[in-house]
Amino acid sequence: MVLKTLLKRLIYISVLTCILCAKTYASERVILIIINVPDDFFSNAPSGSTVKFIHSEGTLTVVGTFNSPDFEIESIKNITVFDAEDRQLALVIDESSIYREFEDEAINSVKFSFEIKEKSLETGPPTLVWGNDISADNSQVEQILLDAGNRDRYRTFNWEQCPADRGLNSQVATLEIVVDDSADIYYLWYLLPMALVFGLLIIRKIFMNKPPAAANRQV
Amino acid sequence: MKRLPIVFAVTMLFTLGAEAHLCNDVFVQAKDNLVVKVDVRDGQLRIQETGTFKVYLLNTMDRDIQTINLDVVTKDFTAKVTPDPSWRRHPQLRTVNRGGQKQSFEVELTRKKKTKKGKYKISLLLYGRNKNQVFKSVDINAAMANMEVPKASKSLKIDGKMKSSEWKKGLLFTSFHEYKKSGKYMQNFTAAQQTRVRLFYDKENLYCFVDLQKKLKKGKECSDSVKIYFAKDQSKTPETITVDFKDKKVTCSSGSEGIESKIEKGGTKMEIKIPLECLAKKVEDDKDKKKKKDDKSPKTFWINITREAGSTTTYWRGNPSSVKNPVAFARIIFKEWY
Repeated sequence: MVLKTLLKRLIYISVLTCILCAKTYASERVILIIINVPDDFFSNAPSGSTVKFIHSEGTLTVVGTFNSPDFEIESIKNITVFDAEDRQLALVIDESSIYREFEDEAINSVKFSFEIKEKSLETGPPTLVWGNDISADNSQVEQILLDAGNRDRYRTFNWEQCPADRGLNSQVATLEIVVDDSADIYYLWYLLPMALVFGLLIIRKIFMNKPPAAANRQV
Repeated sequence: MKRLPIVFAVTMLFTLGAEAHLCNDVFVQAKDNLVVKVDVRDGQLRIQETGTFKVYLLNTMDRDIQTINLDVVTKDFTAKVTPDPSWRRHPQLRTVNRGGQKQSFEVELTRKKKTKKGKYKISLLLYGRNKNQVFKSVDINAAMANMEVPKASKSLKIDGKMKSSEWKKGLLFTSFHEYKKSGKYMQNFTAAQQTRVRLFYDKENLYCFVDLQKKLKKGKECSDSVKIYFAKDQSKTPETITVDFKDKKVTCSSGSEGIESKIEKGGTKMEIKIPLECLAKKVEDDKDKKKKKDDKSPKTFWINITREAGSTTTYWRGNPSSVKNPVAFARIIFKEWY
């Protein structure tokens, strides 16, 4: 009985640990750099001339495609954007842009749009987050349509990696320096194989140059 | 005559204002179009008392950078930054479009007395006239980053069947951009039509999987080709592998002998096998025939990729000014070569 109870507790603890580990699984994230749209943004994209657009005061519409090399999601719910004040923003996913590199596997590229307050951009850039542990209430449309009559409201984005330490200036890059008292001779180890070969050749040469055995001289 | 000083003053004010405007916009343009390379082996510098390395810059924007400086942020070393003596116009960095060349800063680090043995991190900062004018998003880490190409498995076949199990672990190149005008200036924008290229290698061949990431509409085929540029080092002219999806063929600028390719049924993905010899030709001095014979297959290359779909060109790195300049390329290393 005691053993059974212990076993049950062990199983319970193991399951709980697994759940906790799953919940703390790190999702991926990048910073979105919000930029003005190119001049041909509206000429190349489908426009909604028959659609009535509703724009909120003081907001911008950001439209762009995301396909970072490490981007993989199972569902469109597994991606979201947070503004600089940590508010989650609803995404509109362009269904026609969803791309899976290998059939029946993860989504690797997707186009989406979201609304963001201009004031929040003054505070800082938004962050794109994705992963299996993300469950966002995103909507989906066949194609994202653009309101050519309100060009100034539109932005697009590029992205960059989040700095490891938020205290660091994100424009600063780091280089690792190793202080080593044997630094001057450290790289000499590359010569080791060659030194070994030369050593063996010299030894071989010495043996080959040895005088003939005494028995041979007697003959 | 009386009006002359007024006109002069107004012109100066206008010029200063315009230059300030230009100076602010140049920081936005610098992303991807200011090429930065740090010359440090394996991303790590090993020093005893002093050590030096170089930071190379190449301006591929549509205009000059009037002022660019480098600062080294560190508490553990004394840093001395010197522009290369051949950089006569320093601090101005001319664009390649106007004859600008690759320039460099030399950084000398001296260990401070209290700095003990161990690993330290230093920060590199590129800025304009003052340290508040930092060049945005110039990723020096990306400039130093080496990309490892994994070894191909024996089961990898060029059969036109793009299996996930075969290709998924290949080194991936994607996130192409277009170089387009926005307002007054040119800028990089994520391409609407993306491309994916994966690489594997073995001792004799390079294996590529090229994916146009689109669905082909029958009867609406247009020219669509991917070009992969390979250079042995940053001073060499690159060889070009052209993957033509319309004509369904793959060619190499140094000769296409031994190249195998297979396009999948949908017509938008292709598997390719390229002999390493195609990429390694013209590595050594052409006059020295003995050297050519002894030339071993290289284990690193510099690479860039572009795609030309109709009239639209997209770039993995660089822009029209730098697309064939190996200074703007990335370095790939063949993992487990030896």
